[in-house]
Amino acid sequence: MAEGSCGVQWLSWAGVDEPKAAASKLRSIRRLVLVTLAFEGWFALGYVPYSSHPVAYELVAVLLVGCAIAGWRDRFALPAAALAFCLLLGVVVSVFPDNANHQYLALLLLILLMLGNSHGTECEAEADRNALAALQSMRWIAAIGIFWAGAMKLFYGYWLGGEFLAFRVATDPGFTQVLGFFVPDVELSRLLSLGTDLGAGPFRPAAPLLVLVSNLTWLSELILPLGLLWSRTRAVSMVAAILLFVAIQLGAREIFFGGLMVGLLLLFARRDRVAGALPWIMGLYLGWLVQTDVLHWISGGTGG
Amino acid sequence: MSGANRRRWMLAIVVFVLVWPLAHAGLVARYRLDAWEFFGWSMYALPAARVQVSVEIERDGELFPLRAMGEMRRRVRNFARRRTALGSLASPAPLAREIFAGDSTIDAVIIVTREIVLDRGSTLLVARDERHRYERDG
Repeated sequence: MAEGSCGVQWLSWAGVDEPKAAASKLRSIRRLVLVTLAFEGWFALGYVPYSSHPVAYELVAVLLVGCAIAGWRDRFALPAAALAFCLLLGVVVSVFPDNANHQYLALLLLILLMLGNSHGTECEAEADRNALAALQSMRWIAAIGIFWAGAMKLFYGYWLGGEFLAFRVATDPGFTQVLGFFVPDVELSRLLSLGTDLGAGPFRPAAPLLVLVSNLTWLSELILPLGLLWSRTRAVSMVAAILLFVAIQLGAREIFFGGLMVGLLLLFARRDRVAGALPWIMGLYLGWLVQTDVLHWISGGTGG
Repeated sequence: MSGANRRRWMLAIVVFVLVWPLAHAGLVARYRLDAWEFFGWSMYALPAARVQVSVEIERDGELFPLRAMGEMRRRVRNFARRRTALGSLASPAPLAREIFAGDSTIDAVIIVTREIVLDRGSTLLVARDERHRYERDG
């Protein structure tokens, strides 16, 4: 960084890219963010409070699709990101406090995309520095987020004895499907019989493997971000972090948050890997929309 | 905006993401906000908040459960949703005022919020009840 501010130099700990690679990565992550919002706009329509004002939010969804299409090209990157930011901010404010965490994440990413937008800038070197700083900031957000996710699991104390996972296995079929393998049959039957009424429990699992998985999860989340910041361990940490994220999302099914985080983690790769992942992520979004029957809801217009 | 200023804003965003979870944890502890909400990276760190709301009304010294229908039922549900997310920052007072406005014969409104949490020690689901009593003004 030319300005010599130690704070801004600190961003470069998250890796330095060649200008061409940085421009390509920034383009791909922009496409991913805008596409994620375009899909999510339709997905949200099935839920309260979006379903209470379907016409307004359908309009937002249409406009977000427009942003994704326009923002595919560098020429319209800035207006597309700016409009998407305004729409998303409007949605976040209007449905508050019923917001999804990935909406806040997307807002920050859109600001970074606007700040890092280099199209049409006269000074090429300055544009390259902005694009690189935007990418580095996004990588920091991914690393910090994973670190805090692990730290919070430790802080709230439901992961040391596997209590949280036992609770989810007992109450969430997604988790039962993914983690049931780590729980002995007798214990699984006991957990599934507990229910969620007052006094239900205890949710302390007699399942050593589940407790091990539980502790490995928060430990990985604390260690992997450090690996992402060290150039020698960056590639392997990136792969491990993506695998961890995919494994968590198999149970959690936070598909849009997962899509954004996998995109951010892929920014740690030397080449632009987000571009290659984008069609797969879009396919996943489309499959998710079809599976959740949102398209039927829109055509039926019955409200949810 | 100059390039240097742009990059300072970017750094500010990163610093925000770094320090916000600390403030978030403080807000969760102080106001019992739902730790899953508001971008504190605490989703799946603990079971999501669950708040049930029940309302009683008092007429001539006698208590009755409020049989909320239609719009009032929607308002009670909205309050339960807000209370779940915002904890004690979502006051029951506006709901009490709406109930008073809908029926002039009510002398007092009692709103009970029941937060169901997974107790860390016993690992049982336990309730934390709070009772809020509002008298009709004047």
